Amino acid sequence: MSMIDAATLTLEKVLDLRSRAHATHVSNIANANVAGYKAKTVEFEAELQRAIEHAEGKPVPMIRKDATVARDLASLDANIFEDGNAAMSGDGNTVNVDSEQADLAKNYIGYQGAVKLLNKKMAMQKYVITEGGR
Amino acid sequence: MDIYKTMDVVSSALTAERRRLNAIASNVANANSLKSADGEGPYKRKDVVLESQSQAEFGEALNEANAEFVEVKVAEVVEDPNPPRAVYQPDHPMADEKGYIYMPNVNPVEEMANMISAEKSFQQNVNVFQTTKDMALKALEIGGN
Repeated sequence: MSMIDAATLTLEKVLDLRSRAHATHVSNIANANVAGYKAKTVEFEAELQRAIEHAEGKPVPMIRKDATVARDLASLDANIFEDGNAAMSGDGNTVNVDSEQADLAKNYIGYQGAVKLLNKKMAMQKYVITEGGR
Repeated sequence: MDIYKTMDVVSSALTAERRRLNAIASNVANANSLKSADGEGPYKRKDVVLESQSQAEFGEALNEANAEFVEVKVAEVVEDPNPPRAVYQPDHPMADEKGYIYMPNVNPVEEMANMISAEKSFQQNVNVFQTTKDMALKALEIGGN
């Protein structure tokens, strides 16, 4: 097993995608009072899932699996598009500030989780490097 | 760096909301001003027009639909075209020959509603900034222990 395995790579990608999602929610909330602004939606969870499962389902050795995931993750990007929601107010703005706030909070929790897991991963490696804390 | 650009988006919204509040403050303060700054009739209600501005990465083509950094900008400050309110007050020094004075086209109730809206948006953006900051600090914890 290499030091940087599939799980670490995935967590790295999650941090990247979550910060892009964060920027999208921030822009939506910032533009909540601009006439005609169309809210944007980010999607990456399904694609991320597919990238991981793609490697999981293959009967390849551990070392090859990491390489497959790495390749799949490199080509994965967040999908940002204007959503087709109906206007929330008479000026044609489609931002629902309440749901944006909720999504922002959810996204932040996901980010914190990824940071925590990455830390655990690194703590494990450190534990091994220091011969079990001897 | 992305996190700073996110902060720029929030700060652009804070500036825009503050400008909206400034206009509302002028309107309420001048609700009874019979002479405007330019001397042409009574004070006219001011309105701030906001517009979105997508920020593209350097060297990257700007695509409105999938740009995640969208700043807010004050496009212009316009005067409300509605006519002034005529009030019959024949003994007023500024009354016309028919005895009417012309009051600004400011509706205090409307201004109060707009004020609450602008204040709430400002508050929301402050909260968003806080979350953005927490996120940036969280990332600094990676590998820290």
